[in-house]
Amino acid sequence: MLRPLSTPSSPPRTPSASTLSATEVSKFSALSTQWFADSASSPSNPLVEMSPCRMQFVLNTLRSEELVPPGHFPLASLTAPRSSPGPARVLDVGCGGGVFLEAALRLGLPPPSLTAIEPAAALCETLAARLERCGLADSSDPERSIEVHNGPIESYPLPPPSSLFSVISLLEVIEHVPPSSRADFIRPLLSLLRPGGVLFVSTIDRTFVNGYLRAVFGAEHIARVTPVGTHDYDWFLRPVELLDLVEGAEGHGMELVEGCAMLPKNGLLGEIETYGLKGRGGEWVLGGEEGKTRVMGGGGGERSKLEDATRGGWGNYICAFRKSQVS
Amino acid sequence: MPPPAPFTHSVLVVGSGTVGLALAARLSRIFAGSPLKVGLIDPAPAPKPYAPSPTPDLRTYALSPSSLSTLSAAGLPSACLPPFDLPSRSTAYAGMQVWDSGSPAFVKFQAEDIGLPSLGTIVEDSLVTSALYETVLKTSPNVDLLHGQPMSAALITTIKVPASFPERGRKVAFQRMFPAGPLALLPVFGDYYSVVWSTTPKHFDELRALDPAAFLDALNAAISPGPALPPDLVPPHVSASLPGPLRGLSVGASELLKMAASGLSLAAMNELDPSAGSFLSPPAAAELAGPRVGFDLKVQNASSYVSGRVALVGDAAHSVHPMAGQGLNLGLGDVECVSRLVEEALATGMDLGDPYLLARYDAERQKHVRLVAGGIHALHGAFGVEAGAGVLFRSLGMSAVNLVGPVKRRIARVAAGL
Repeated sequence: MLRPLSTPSSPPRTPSASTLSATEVSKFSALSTQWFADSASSPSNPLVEMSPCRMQFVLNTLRSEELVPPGHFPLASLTAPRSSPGPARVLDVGCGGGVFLEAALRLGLPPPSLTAIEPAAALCETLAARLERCGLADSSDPERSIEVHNGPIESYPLPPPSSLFSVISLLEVIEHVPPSSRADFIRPLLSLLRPGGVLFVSTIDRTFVNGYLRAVFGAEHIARVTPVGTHDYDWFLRPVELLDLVEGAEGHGMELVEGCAMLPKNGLLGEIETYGLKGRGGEWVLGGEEGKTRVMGGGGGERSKLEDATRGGWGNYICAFRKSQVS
Repeated sequence: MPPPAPFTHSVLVVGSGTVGLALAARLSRIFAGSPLKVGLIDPAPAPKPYAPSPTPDLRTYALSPSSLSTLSAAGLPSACLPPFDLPSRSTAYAGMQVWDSGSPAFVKFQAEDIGLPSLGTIVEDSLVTSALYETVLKTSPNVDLLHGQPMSAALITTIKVPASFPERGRKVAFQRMFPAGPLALLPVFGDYYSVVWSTTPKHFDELRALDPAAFLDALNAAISPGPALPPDLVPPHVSASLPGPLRGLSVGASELLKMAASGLSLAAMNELDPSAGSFLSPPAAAELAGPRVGFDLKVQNASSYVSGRVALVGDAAHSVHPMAGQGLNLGLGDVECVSRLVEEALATGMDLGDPYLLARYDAERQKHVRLVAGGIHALHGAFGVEAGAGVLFRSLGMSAVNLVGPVKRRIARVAAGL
C-alpha cells in the first residue's frame, strides 16, 4: 500500500458540489487493469506512446526554467524556484494508471517528493501494485513511498506555503472535467502551486480533423486504441480556451511559458498505417517547425500568437504555465 | 559468495559477435555517467587481441558510412591508435562496379554522385571486434563481460594483385554477378584484395580442391572478363525448329535487342567524362595470400524481432545473402535503432524494456530489413536467370541504371545505408 492520505478529514462534499463527473470516474475505474501492455503484441495505449514526447517537453521546460540540471536522472535534482525556496514537490492531478508517475520516478524523482491525486479508487489500487512491481516505489519504506490521494482536487488539504508544489501536471485530464465546473476545478489546483512553479497541461484540440476524426472517431471506432466513449468531442478545449481558463484564474498570475503540438511522427497517414495495419501505435514527436505548432510565451501577445499557431488545429498539445513569482 | 542481486543489468546483450559487441559498446556510452550497466554474455571466449599480420584477415566487411558512424558513436575511434591502425589497414572505396557474366551490361556507382567521400570502407573483422572489445568494453565501468546447413556456400580468401595495377582501380569494389551468386573482389589495403565467391556447394568443393595456381586461373577467368555479349533471345535449337517466317522474326528481334543492349553499354563507355561511368578492368590475382575457407550462406528473417523484454539484433534476427556486404550493415542498423530507443527511454523516463519501445524496434527494423533483404534477393534472383530473354532485359535494365543518374544515385544511397 502507498501512504494513504486518501480520506479527506473534512466531511466529503455532496457529489453535485464536486468538480468531478461521476460518469467519467466510473469510466476510468473500469479501465484500471488495462493501462499497460504486457507484451509487444498487446493493444497499444496512446497515453504510453505519447509519454516520451510529453516528458521531453516537460524536461525542456524545467531545464529552461532552471529547475533541473542537464544529464541523467534530472528529476533527482529538481529544485524549488529560487524566489520561493523549500522542498521541491511534484503533483500529478488525475494520475490514471500512473504513466507520468512512472516516468517521473524513473527520471530520478525521490518517491516522497511525488503526490498523485486520482478520484477513481480502483485506479489508485492498481497504481500501487504496478509501481511496486516495477520496483519504483515501496509502501513499507517511507523513503520510497509516494503519496496517493483518492478524491477530487478540492478535497486535497492546502499545505503550508513552504510545502506547495513546484510542478503540477494535468495531463490528458482537463477534457474529462465538465466544462461548467472547469473554473471551480482549476482554482483549487492553482492554489497548490508555488510562486514561480510550473503547471503542465496536455489535452486535445477541438477541431474536426484532429479532434473528432482522429481522437474520437479514429481512435475509438477505427483503430480501437481507446475504448468507445472515452472522449466527448464537445469537452475538448481549443488552446485559446485553455489559455483563458488558466491565465484567467484570478489571483494566481499564471502566464503561458510555451505551448506545443504533439504529432504522430509520420503524420496522419503514418498513424493510419501503424494503427490500421498492426493494431499498435507509432511514435509521437513535438511539433516545432517554423512556429506553426509551437508558441513561446514571454509577455504580451501570446493570445494572438496562439491563435495564429493553432489556426489549423493542433490535435494533441501540451502547454506550460508559470505562476508569477510574487504570490 | 553473496547471492546475486535480482536486477543487476539494465540491458543484457546475448552473443558477442560483431553486432553484439557494437550494441554493448554503444549502450555503454549512453549509460556513461549513470549507474546503469549493460551485460555482455557469450559462452565463447572473448575476441583475441588484434595482431596485425602482413596479409589481411580473411573475414572482411564493407562498412557503409552510416555503419561507420554507428561504430564511431560506439567509441571506435575513427583513426584508431596502434595496433588498431584503421587508415593503413582498410580502404575507403569510392566506386563500385558491377557487371554481368552473360551480357555487355555493367553499372558503376561513384561516391561523388551522392556527394560522399566514399561508398564504404573495407575493413578486417578482427580489427573491428578487437578494437571495440579492447578500447571500449574492457575500459567502460558500465559494462560487465560475462564470458564463458546450407542454401549455398561462399568461399573466402585473400589474394595479392600485381603492384602494377593502376591506382584508379584500387578504390573500387568489384562484383561480377553469376547465376549462382556474386564474386566480389574487395580492396583491403596495399595489394591485398579480399575474395568472396558465393556459389553452389558443389562448385565450392571444386574450387577448394584446386591447387593454388589452378584456383588463381579459375578466379581470374571468372573475374577478368568484361561485359559479354548477351545470348540469343530464342535459343538456336528452338529457333531452328520454328517455321521460316517466325524464325526470321525471332532472329530479327533477338539481334535488335542485342544491338540495343550493346549500344547502351557503348554509350556509357563513351560518356563525356570517361572516368565517371566507364567500365574499369578488375585486377588479375597474382598470388594467393591466404587459405581458402568456406561458410554456409543462409537467408532467413525472424517473423518478429521482439518478445517479452527481449530483442533480437544482427544475424540472430536476419541473415542475408552476402551481396554488397550488407549483413553487418543491417546488424549495425539494428544496433543504432535499439540504442536510440534506449537513449530516448532513459531521457524520458520510459521503462527500457517497455513493450511499446520493443514494438517500435520491431516495426522499424522489419520494414528496413525486408526492403534491403528483398532488394538483395531480387537482384540475386535477377542474376540467377540464364535464359535468353531474361538476360537481355536484365542487360538493358543494368545499362539503363548506369546511364540514369538519379536511379543510380538512389541505389548507391541504399548501398551506403543512407
